[in-house]
Amino acid sequence: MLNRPKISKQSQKGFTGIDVLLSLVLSSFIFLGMSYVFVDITEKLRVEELRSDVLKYGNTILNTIERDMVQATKVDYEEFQSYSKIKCTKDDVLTIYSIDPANGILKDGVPFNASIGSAIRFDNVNSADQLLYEIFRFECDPVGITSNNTNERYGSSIFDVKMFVDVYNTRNELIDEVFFNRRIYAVNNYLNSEI
Amino acid sequence: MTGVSSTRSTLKSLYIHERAYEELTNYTNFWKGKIGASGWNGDASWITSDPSVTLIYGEKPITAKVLRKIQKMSGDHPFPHYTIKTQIVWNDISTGNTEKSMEYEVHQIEYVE
Repeated sequence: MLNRPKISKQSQKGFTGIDVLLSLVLSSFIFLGMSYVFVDITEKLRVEELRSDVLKYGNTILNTIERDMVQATKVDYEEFQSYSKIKCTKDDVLTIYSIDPANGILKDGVPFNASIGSAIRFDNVNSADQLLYEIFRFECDPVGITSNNTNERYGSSIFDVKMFVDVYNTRNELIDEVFFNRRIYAVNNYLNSEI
Repeated sequence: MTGVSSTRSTLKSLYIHERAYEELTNYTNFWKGKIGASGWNGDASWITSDPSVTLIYGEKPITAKVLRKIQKMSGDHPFPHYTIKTQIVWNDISTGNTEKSMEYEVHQIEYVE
């Protein structure tokens, strides 16, 4: 028989099965935690990016609508549930602002972002056809008679143009609502209206 | 995580600031137009009774108070001339609900037709 070498107890030091299992469980927890943080941060940054896009889009469009309404000698509006149509007449030329949920705000039937020279974009759907944001209300209402205004002629020439945009996360849940409100005094419309 | 939270609350605060600016402009334009159209008697002190405006809708809406002080600066020659001071006050959520405000001072004449 061969003499089996004796291993001393000191050289048997090492990780036991429980040590290894415990370290695996702990590192899994740490990994899962880090993954959650990473996904959460990515999602939040994505939302901020979307919000920034929406703000730029909304402000640019409302600036243009405001300019046209102020210069127009006649301003009309039509309402369809939560969507309005704004009609501005200037030098006998009619400009119509309306909305199409898939393409955003339209100027004379053409998506605003698609018109020549436009610096804004309306990318509300990603490459996987997932909805990122949508305009769910676009309204134009005259201020009319209020506690601060009893002048009917003035009240019918000053308008509140409101736009509400819903922002969604990757699970298609509503996570934010961006709101715009412009009070626009159509001064030429006022001066041309009957006393 | 802390950095991201801080950045997010700063961005939210900036958005609220932008909305406050928009609402103050709306309010000021309303009074400019109104004075242009039909004049005003003038206010001795700040008027605080105007309806509040909503800056953010949703589960936790944020509202702001709007104030005005309109003074008639000159009589009726050639046109009545007014100074309009407007102010908006709101609570900033990102800095522990501290009160923030913005103010405008503009001039307006009354159109006499």
